[in-house]
Order: sequence, then structure tokens, then C-alpha cells
Amino acid sequence: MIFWQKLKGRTQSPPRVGIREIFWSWFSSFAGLAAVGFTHYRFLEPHGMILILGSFGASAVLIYGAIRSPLAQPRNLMGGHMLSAFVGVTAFRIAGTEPWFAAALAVSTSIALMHLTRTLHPPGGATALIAVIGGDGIHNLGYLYVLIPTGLGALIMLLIALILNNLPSYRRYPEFWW
Amino acid sequence: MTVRQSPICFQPALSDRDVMDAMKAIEGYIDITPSDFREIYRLAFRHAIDRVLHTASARQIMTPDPHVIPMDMNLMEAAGILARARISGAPVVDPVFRVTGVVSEKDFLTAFGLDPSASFMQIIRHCLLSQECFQPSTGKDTVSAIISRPAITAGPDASLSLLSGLMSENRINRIPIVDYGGKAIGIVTRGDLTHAIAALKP
Repeated sequence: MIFWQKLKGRTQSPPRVGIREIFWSWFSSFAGLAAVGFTHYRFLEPHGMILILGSFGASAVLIYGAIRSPLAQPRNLMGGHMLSAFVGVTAFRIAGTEPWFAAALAVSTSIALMHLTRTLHPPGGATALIAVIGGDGIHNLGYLYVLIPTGLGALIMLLIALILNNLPSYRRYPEFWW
Repeated sequence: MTVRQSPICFQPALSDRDVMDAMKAIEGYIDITPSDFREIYRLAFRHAIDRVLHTASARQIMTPDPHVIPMDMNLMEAAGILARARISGAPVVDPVFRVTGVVSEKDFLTAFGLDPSASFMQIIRHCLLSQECFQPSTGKDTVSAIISRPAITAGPDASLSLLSGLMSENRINRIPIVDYGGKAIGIVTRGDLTHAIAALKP
């Protein structure tokens, strides 16, 4: 009975944010993804390099749309992505012949290590997964995947966040560095 | 008696609505549910109270140099001291000023054959009906005959949690604070404890 009781939930959803917050979330995430995407498509892709990752879409939600969240702080953004990238590449190296196993190992180990290092950043789980399921283009990068695209892409997104999240007087970022 | 205003806001009950309104006032997205907030608030408040109860000491909240009453004083004089000082109880001391007990209004009521929890009106009625109103029972004419013993005392470094425990376990309202020689250097009443906690406005 307690189980069913728990399933009913116990509280309500947080309130909808104001129109200013919606605008700034939209504007800064547009700029952040534009910066990473532009660099990727104009400068790197023609040379066979990668900068944009699916997991950056998720990071944008946090670092432009929920900027107070502990999950959205620079330590979590950079640490979560790079640690998970390392775990993902390692998981593929160890168990790449059984992709289902490598995928599960990569994501679960990333979560555990992000918790352990206080760098929990949900998109990190996607970064780890991409290291396994990303195809030959990603696999051929080896551990470079940790630095480019993961580290560099996250860093560009972070720089945009540091500038744009502090433009409106009522917003501030980060809450903490370390 | 000087009555200090004590704002009783010991554990303000927050509603989900209060928390939602506060979250709306903060414009950014707060990724926490209202009930998470209330839980953190409840635990943090409890923690703050525990911290004060365990770190603040009797010395910080006591009234220093309290009125004391010699144990061989007769009841009339003792009542005079309490009345002039506008207090309802005081430490009782032996000839070398060591605390041997506490005398309070309740002890007087008991000595006069009244229920110690008697109300003022009950006392008036008793006096109107009885010719020997306020004649102490035989042999009970000095303070030492009517006081509560043994004295429940504490040292100046006793924590507030120890003091409040002593008060509720012994059902007493004041604790003399004594030095190592047993001499009264202060007194802590229930009111002092309440004020110390009420000062903890969240």
C-alpha cells in the first residue's frame, strides 16, 4: 500500500518562470548553440573534425535555462562532460564488441563517478553514451574525444553562458566555481 | 515584573502556497519542489535550535547575582523579599551562602495548606471562608521548613538543553546557577530559556 501511496506523488510542480526568464533562456541558448554549431560546420567539419555533440543540447537547458541549478554550474558542466567522455571511451575500449553492455557500463559508471566527484551534470550521461554509440567518426578519436569535441565544445558554451547570463540585471551566473 | 515581549515563532508552518509564492518571486527556474524546500527548511531550523541549545551556556542567559534568601529566615520576611523584588522564587542559601534549595510561590501555597496549583481566585475564596487565612502549618515558620529539596542547580557552563531537561524532568521553573563552591552566581528561569530560543527568528 505504501508503494501505491508513493506513486501518487506528494507535492506540486514548481511555478512557471516569467516572460523575461523565458526570453533570456531562449536568447542565450540560441547564442551558445550557434557558437558551437558555427565553429563546427564552418571550420571543423570540412577538415573531418567534430565539435558539436547531441549532449550539448541538454547542457544548454541547464546552463541557459536553469542557471541557478547546482547541475548547471561550471564545475558540473566541464567536470561532468569530460569525466563522462573519458568513461565512455574507456567503456568502448573494454567492451565495444558488446555495444549494449558498453553503453550501459558507460552511462552508469559516469553517473557514479559524477556523484563521487560532485560534478553531476545529466548531459554527461549522454556524452558517455555517444562515445559508445557514436559510430566510427567518434570511435576513431580515441581519448581525444575527451578534449575535442567534448571539452572544447563545453568550454565555448560556458564562455557564452558567463557573458550572457550576467547581462540582465536580475540574473547571475555562476552560483559557484568550485 | 517586567514582561519582555517574546515573539513565539518557534516552528512557523510553511504552506506549499507560501513556498510557491517565494519561488515565483525569485525569477529563475529553481529545480527543487516545494516539498523539498519545506523539508530542508524544517531540518535546517531544527539544526539551528539544536546548535543554540547545545552551544549556548547558562552563563549567557542567566540573571546574575540573584536575590537569595537565608534558610533560617522566617516566612514573612522571605515573602517580603520576593514581593519587593517582584519575583516568584529565589535560591535559598545556608550561612556560608551555599545553595540548599529554592523557595517559590508554590512552596508558600503548600505551607499554607493550599493546592500548589491554586488560582488567585481560589486563594481569595480560601481566605474569605477561613479565619486563619495564611497561618502556616505548625512548625513551618522558616524558609528551610518549606523549600523543595534537594536543590536542583547547574554550573555556568551547562548547556541550554541540559537546563531545559532539568526543568521538565523535575517540573521546576528556575535553576540556580552555582560556582564550584556551590554559591549562587545567577539564576535561569523558563522565561530566560524561552527568550533565548525566541531570539532565533528564522
